[in-house]
Amino acid sequence: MALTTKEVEHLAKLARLELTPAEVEQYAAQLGEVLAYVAKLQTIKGQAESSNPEGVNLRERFGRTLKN
Amino acid sequence: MLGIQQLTEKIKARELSAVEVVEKFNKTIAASKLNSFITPTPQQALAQARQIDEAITKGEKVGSLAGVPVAIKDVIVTKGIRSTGGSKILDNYLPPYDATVVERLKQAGAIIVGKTNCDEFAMGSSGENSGYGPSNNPWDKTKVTGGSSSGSTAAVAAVECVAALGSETGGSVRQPASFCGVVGLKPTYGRVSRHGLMAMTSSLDQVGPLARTVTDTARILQVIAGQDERDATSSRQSVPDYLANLPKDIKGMRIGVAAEFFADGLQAEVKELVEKAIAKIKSLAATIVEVSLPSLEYALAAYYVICPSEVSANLARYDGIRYGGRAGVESLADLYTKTRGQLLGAEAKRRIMLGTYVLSAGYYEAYYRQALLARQVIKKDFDKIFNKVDILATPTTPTTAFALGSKLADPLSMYLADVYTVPVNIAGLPAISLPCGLAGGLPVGLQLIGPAWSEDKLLQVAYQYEQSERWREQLPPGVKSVY
Repeated sequence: MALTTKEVEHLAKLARLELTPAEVEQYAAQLGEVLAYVAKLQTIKGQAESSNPEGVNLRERFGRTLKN
Repeated sequence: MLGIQQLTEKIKARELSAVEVVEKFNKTIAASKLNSFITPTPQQALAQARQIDEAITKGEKVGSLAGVPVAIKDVIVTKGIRSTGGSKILDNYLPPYDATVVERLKQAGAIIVGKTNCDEFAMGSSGENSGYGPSNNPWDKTKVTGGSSSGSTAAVAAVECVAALGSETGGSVRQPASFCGVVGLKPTYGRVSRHGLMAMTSSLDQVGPLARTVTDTARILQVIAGQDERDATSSRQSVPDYLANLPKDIKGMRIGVAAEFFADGLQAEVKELVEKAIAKIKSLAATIVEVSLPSLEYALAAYYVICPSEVSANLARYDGIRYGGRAGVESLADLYTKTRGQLLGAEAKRRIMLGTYVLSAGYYEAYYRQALLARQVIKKDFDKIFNKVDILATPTTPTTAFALGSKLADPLSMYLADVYTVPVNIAGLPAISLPCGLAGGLPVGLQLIGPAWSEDKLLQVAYQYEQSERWREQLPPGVKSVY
């Protein structure tokens, strides 16, 4: 499930990366392989149950007084 | 070899001077063939050592780490000392401030002997993604150290420092600790300040200590843990005395074992040694309880969506304007694309593009949202486990250290080296890796995972196991301790 070179060139443009033609070829295959692996996430069932989408608390509530 | 406490006691009693200690370590570092340091700091270290000796001579109070040589992973900034983060894009970067963890170590009297090698911006599992060449495993120089805290771990294993700071996003302290036969701890998310840690995956990143023993690991954690008003994600949770529980027995403690961590892909010798270690823990009067982590198979996939997504945003700051190196001058667009294209390494570019892809309109729902859902499911599975047991025991890595160069062309196989460490980061939990034997001359690590804020209990179980064996006394072939 390799990406096309056109897709990789578009991603590189969005990410402000200048790639050589050899890099484009290589990334097309490698990114495709990783995307095929992470596709298993689509089989996870269920809805987000928490209003906190991260699933973990990234920071505590503000409003405390900070000491100097 | 001395522990941190014995070393500082000798220095405080003036049996040894901090200068003498630092001179020995400076010499060892200069002679090292492991490429563990990007920037050794012998002069600054000596200046710090002189201050400590002076303070002791004057009878002033010195801290718990007085005169202890420590190494700092290069993704952690140090005032006026080059901090590259393992990237050529920051080759000439001199930070104007110290990270909070560095500030705290210095206040405690620790001496910074240098900045250690690592995978570029902490992205990698072998140390080979460093812009400054890989570090070598002290047990076998043809093998990787693991990563991304490659240099910090090699330096601790080869006694080029007494302890070191690494950083974790998916196993970057525990995995190399396992490969190099030292102790590495990943604290609970929010336990240690990240002010001054170069951001990679902000919802996962955490600084962690590496040392040769559980006690020394606890002593470093004690100094760096605790809230920092300069990091809003650092927690107000109080910091317990991490040394207090170490000598207490673990009688009746419930240790979980989950079959998912002993599945296909686990090297037979690693399995055998970890099972032996678990049997040993059982013999210390702990109870072994079978548990299950069915969502384990989703953890690595979730990681390789969440991490690249955040990387694609966090690394946008390296644009050739604000920091470091620069290439291309034709136009602003040319400056951005050439600087980033030429000065960022292959893995950084790979993750930036992966993140850009999975966050794109039309793909966000299928990848990023599903990864967040997986994160919740994994967190809940761990919660269920910790209703039944105190600590979960697993292998740290599926294999021992692999050969340098063997996984470079195949990023996915490299990613799989973190399959047992990543779930811990995804759920924000603390975990420790410590040596549990040698397989074919290479170290194997036992991983202990606990619920949030259970570092004291993790260290206690780790210490009790460590004391029941003698792995901590083993040094890599040819390595001699200078203290």
